[in-house]
Amino acid sequence: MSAVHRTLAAVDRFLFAPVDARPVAVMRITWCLLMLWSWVWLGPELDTFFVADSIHDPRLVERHWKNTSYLAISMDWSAGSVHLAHLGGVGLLLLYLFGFGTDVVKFLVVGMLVATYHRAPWIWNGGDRLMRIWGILLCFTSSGAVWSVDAWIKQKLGWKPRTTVPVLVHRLIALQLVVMYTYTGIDKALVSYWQEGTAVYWAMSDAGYSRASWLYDPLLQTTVGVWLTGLLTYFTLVFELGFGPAILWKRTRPLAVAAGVALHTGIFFTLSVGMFGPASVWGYQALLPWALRRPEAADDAAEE
Amino acid sequence: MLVLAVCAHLLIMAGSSLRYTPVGPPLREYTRPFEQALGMHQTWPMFGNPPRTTTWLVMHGVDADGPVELPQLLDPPDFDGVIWRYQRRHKFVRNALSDKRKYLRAAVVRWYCRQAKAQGHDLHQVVFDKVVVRTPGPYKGDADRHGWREKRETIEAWNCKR
Repeated sequence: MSAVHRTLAAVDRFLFAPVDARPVAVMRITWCLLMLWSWVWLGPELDTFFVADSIHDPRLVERHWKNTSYLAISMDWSAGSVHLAHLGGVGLLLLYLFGFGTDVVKFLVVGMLVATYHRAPWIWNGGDRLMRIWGILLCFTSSGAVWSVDAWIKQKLGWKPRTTVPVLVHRLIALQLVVMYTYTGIDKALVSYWQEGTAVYWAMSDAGYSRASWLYDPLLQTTVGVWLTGLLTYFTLVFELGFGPAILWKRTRPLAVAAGVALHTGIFFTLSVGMFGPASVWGYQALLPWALRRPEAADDAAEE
Repeated sequence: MLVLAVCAHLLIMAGSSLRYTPVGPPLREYTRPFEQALGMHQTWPMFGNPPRTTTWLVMHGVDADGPVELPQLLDPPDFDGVIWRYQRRHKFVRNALSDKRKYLRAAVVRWYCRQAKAQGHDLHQVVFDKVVVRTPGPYKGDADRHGWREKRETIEAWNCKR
C-alpha cells in the first residue's frame, strides 16, 4: 500500500471509524436536559423580550440587528402566541429527548434555537452559543440510533438495529473545544490582569456575576484569597492554552478533562454565567474512552 | 450531503476563528452569512478583560408632577444575597450599558413609555442613571463591600413620544 493510501486510510479511520452508538445517545439525552432547563427558564422573561411590544420591539430588531433576514419568528406575535410557541419548544425538546422522529426533530430543534436567537439577539451569552453549536453538531450524527423511541419502533418492526455511528461528531466536538479554549487562552495571555495573576480576583469581585459576594469577599481580601485567585488565574491560563495539546495524547486526555471539569465546576459555584460551564463540560463526553470505544471492544466487554 | 455540511461547518469555523489572521477575512467573506445565520461566531472572551467594577443601570421616570419611580428591569446586585438563577435581563442590561449600544437604551425607553401609556399614566421622560462600584485592588479593600465607594451619575434622559 502506498504512503498516500495509508494516509487516506488513517484519515478515514480518524474521522469515520465506527464507534458505539450509546454514548451519542447519552449526548442527545444530556443535551436535551440542559436545553430544557435553559428553555424553561426563558418562560418568565418571554413577555419582556419576545412579544411584539416587548423591549425587542420590531423597530429595535429591524434597525439594529443586521441578520433580520434570518428571522423565522414574526416580530408581531402577541404574548399568547409567544407562550404557545414556547410550550411547543418544550414539546419539541421532549420529542428529541425521547428520540421520537429524531432525524427530523433534531433539525426542527436547531431551527427553533436559531429563530429565537435572531428574535431577541441581545440576551444570549457564550453558553447559549455553545449549546446551539452542539445542537448543530448533533445533526451530523444518528443520536437516536439507540435508547430512543425510534430504535424501539424499529425493533418492533423487526428492522436490524443500528449499533454504531461514525466517530466524526466526536472529532468535531473536540475541535470546537480546542478552538474555544485556544482562542480565549491566547486572548487572555495578552492581557495584563492575566499576566499578573489578578484576573480571577477582579472577575469574582463583580457582584453582578458573583454568586454570593458576601461569602467570597472576605476571602478575596485576605492574603490567602489573593494567592488563591492568583493560582486560579494561572491555572485557567495553563488549562486553556494546554487543552489542545493535552487531548491529542491519550495519556494526558483524562487530566485535561478532569482539569476542565474542576475549572467549570468552580466557576459554576462562584460566578453566575449561565449555561457556559454545563455546555463546556457536556462537550467532554466526546473525549471519554467510553465514547470512543470501537464496536469490537464493546462486544468484548459485553461478553466478559 | 453530510460531507458537504461538515466541510461547510469547518470553513465557517475557520473563517470566524481566524478572522484576525491574513487567512480569515478572505474566507469569511463567503462564510460570514452562514456564520451569522446560525449564530455560531467563534468569539470566546470569557473574562478576557475582567471587570474592575460592579455596574448597573437605574431607571426612573418624570411625569407632570415630577420624578416617579419605575419598576426596574433588573434589580441592583444584592451584596447580601445569592444569585440562584441566570436572568436574561442581566445580559441585556450588560449590553445596554455599553456606550455603543445607545439603541438598546432607546428601546427600553419605548418599552417604559408603552407600558405607562397602557396603564393610563402620562409618562414624560425616562432617565438612566449608571451606578458604578469600583472594586478596590488586592489588599486595598474592606471585606465588606457596603463600604466601597459608589458613584451614581445620570447618563441620559429620553422623552416619551407624545
